[in-house]
Amino acid sequence: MKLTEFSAVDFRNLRRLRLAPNPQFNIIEGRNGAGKTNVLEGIFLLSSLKTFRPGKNKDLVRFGTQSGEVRAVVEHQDTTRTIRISISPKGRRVWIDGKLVRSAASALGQLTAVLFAPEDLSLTKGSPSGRRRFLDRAIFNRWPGSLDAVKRYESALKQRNALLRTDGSDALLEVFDEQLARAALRLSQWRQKYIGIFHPILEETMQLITGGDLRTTVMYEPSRLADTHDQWVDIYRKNRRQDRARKSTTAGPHIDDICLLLNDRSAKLYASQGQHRALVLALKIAEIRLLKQELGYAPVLLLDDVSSELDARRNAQLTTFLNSEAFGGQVFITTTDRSWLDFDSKSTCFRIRDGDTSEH
Amino acid sequence: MKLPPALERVVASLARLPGVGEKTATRFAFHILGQSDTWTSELAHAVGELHSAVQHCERCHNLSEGPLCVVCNDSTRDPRRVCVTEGIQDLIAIERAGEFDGRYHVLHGVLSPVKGIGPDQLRIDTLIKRLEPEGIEEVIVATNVDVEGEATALLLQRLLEKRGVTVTRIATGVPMGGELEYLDQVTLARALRDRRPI
Ligand SMILES: Nc1ncnc2c1ncn2[C@@H]1O[C@H](COP(=O)(O)OP(=O)(O)OP(=O)(O)O)[C@@H](O)[C@H]1O
Ligand SMILES: [Mg+2]
Ligand SMILES: [Zn+2]
Repeated sequence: MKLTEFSAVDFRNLRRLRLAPNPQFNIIEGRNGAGKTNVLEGIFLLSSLKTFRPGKNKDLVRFGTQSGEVRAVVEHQDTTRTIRISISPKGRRVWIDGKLVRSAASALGQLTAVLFAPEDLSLTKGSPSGRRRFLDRAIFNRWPGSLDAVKRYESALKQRNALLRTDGSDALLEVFDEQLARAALRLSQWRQKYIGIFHPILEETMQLITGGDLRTTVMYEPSRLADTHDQWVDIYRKNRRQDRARKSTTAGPHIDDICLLLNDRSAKLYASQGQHRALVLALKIAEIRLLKQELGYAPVLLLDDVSSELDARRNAQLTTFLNSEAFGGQVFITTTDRSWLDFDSKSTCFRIRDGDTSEH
Repeated sequence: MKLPPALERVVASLARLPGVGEKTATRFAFHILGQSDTWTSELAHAVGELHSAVQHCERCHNLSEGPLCVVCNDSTRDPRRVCVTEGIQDLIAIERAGEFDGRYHVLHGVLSPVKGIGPDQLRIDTLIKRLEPEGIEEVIVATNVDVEGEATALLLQRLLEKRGVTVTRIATGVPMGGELEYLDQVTLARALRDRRPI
């Protein structure tokens, strides 16, 4: 899967930008604030219809303008598709091959992109919410249809919490508990299924990265274990009194975590700085390898300035992986200084200045 | 250039329409400006009397021009079956399909605690009051399949079934003539989940 064209009009600080990406490495170079991350954000938006930074539609269009758009031509297994998203304060609209897409669901899965950003470096140390986001995003790339479960769970949870805050009746809580239980079952099943496939791939990747001196385990750590709809209904019902007192839902997939162990000890508690970096790198590489193994092709990889955050050895390992047959996908890398990156002739460098570009 | 205030007001009003942005609104406003006086006063008059001339049906809350709507006034419709919709547009869509020959009941919304909409904000009480006098036997709930629509359907089921009415839900999933390989994954997954015996 490759982008052969990317363009943005009035998206963030990109006034009118057009790139003809290299099928392999694309280095996006420029000073701080030039608009490099905005380019990656545009590509990410085309892949997931969401952005990875907080922002409403009016924040996405260039200051002082009413509307903007991002567009990409994606080549994948003999077919070429054009995806375009137009953004205005009233909403986003998706066009595929010039045709307006009616349900967002059918626009998903056209472009598979994995983002690796500096924030990911706190994945193993940080809060469970970061790990849940990583997991749900990885599941989405593998099975775009899973997004429905995530969205439904989020909206049922919001509604239930609103009922808890306003002392809603038991009869109303019951009908929303039912919705929450349905989504909880599906969401926890997706997560379980993904971890099952992910675990051996992560273990092997970590072996490669650390030279085999660390045994890695990843486990799904659900806030509650339940395999059936009725069990979930039961969980929410039993918690009702407590939840009313706390005015929020105290158990469910929104409190899940994934537990990472190095030689059987919690990485979160015991890993060294260097081990954390190795593990984060392994998580991202494993996510990509899983996609390649399961989908049969490599996703587009968006690397936002990670080389400045990884040490020299991990950088070299990342570069080796990206150059290897095992990957073979297209990469977009942002950097303030390309002399830090070591890619040969297979790369194109785009210089970004104030949202504008030149190629060389 | 700044537009004259009168034109500016038209642009601002039009821009509130769904799917119409500043640019389109300006284009429309200039178009209207270029039309004949008769046409513009016709338009103004038609819009002006919209709220007073169009009412809601006393029985089913559909649009009507008298106390009862055209569906409720039609004696060939089967009063034993009532289809419940969120809004009038859903009713219109079902009417257009031409398959349903019962009556309707428009809730004018769905449950949404986040927006402060509970059963009392919906036209549920008037539906319950209709059951006996009209001899309603089956209520078909055609609310959307999102969380709010599903919760509303479930609440209706609980309220109506204990009053001896059969409550059914419209089917969702694979559209007719839809080829499986072109279906998006969400629709397909839902169709699989809601499968039924043949
Ligand atoms: N809606 C918008 N309109 C115009 N400019 C915007 C908008 N949103 C963000 N910006 C600006 O875009 C600029 C570039 O942001 P971006 O994050 O892409 O920089 P960067 O090149 O990745 O920099 P760094 O190297 O520091 O990460 C920022 O200065 C930001 O203020
Ligand atoms: Mg940046
Ligand atoms: Zn009526």
